[in-house]
Amino acid sequence: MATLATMSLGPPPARVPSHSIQLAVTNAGLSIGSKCILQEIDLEVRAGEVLCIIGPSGSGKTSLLRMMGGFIRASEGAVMAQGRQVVAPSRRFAFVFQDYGRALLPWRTVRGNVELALEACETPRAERKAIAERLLYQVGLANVADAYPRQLSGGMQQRVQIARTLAQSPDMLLMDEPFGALDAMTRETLQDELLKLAAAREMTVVFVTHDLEEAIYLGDRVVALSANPGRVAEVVDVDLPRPRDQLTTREDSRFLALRHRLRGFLTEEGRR
Amino acid sequence: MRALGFVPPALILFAWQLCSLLPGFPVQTFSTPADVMSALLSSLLDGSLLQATGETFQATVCGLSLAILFGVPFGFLVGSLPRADRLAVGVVEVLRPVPAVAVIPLALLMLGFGSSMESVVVAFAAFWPVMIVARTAARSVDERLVEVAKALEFSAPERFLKFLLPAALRQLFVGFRLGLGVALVVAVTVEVAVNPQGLGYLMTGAQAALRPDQVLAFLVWVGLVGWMANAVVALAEVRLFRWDVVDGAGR
Repeated sequence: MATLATMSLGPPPARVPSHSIQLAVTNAGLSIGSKCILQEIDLEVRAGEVLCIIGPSGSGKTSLLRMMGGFIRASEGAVMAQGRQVVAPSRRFAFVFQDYGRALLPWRTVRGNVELALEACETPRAERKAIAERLLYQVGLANVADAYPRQLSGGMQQRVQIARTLAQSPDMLLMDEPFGALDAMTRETLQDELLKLAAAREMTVVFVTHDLEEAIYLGDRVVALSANPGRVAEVVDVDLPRPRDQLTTREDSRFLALRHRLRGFLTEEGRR
Repeated sequence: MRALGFVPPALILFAWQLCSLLPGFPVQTFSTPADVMSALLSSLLDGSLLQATGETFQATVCGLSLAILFGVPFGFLVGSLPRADRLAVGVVEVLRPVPAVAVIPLALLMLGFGSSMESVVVAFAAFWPVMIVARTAARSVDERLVEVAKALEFSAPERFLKFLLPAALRQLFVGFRLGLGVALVVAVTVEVAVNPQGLGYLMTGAQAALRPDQVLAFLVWVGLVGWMANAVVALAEVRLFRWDVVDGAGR
């Protein structure tokens, strides 16, 4: 049932009752000094979905994600999770930083970095090693557990960070352009691994990217922000079957139609 | 390649020995390499040199430990709290230019001759490099790591132990090395100036006895001791910070 209606620009589709809301941003604004970064943001993250946020640079997409993660407070409105306002970072919402090189502890081995999250969760010491090694196996790093982050390639370092966030058993992953600094092949591999991990753990993912195709490929929904100030310009449902495939999904006519539809939001016109 | 470093000293020694054979060479005040070597050997064999080295070394290590004990917490404090930094800046800027030697009279008044007086003067001198490096280290902890610590909801003491301290340790070690160099210099200085112990005192004694061969022998020995101390610390550094030197480039 792939029709143009599913990606129409009209009001958002009626909400299916089974979608429980994991995180809600209501009428949120963010100003730093006299500069307005985000304005009147209304957004709901549904449990189990992959929600991608795109927008031109300066649209405040990273700020929005950091607000959702509790790293910055909204100047107006609120970010709510399970009836409570998000005021500080929480282990339940794991944040994956773009600059993996700075987010890993260089003096700890790969396994030590994963164990850090287990220490935070107060996992008994005796169990940490086995859990960390299982997670590293899942992200394909079992053979470099004793290496230091600086010995690894960028893609491998980002995998370490993902394994660390998985170790804290989060309900949600908040990912800030996590694959932005990686080469195209590595990026595609990691996209597929992320989808597999999220599906297996029924994890909610909020994924910020400036790469439109990446957003469509990964997302159940794509939120397009406009810039100056950042506002929600469009929310689009992605009606592409899962599991997705780097070749066939990207050649699907619905994929291409979405790409056409959303492209304007990333160009100068999107900035208004 | 490392052997190349031994060529110039060998050439200098050879030239020096040749010159000493020339008529008019001031053997009475300058001595010859052969005499210096035999003076070094005899002082080593009779134990006087090793005892003096032990005394100097003890004062150096005690002084440096004191400097680390006070300098690291103080540096962390002013490095992480801008208000504490502003409060401290006046005192620091006035005390820091005071030469360590100028502290000797005060230290003598309070503690008299001996190794505790010497250690205090050494500590005063080594405190500054250690403190300043600790301050810089506390300031330069990556904000991303601070966010990772917050995201994992670590408590303040855990954040200090798991993030700030290990992140700062790499830089702190540079401070320790600088401090060690300063400490050794100041310990010998105090001994040459006033304190009747250690390598410095041994040298002034040799000078008073008009023994240029011994003076030079002790000078060479001080150089060797300093070089060895630094080599030990450098080795510890490589061991401790494997994560920093393991990447292909090796820095």
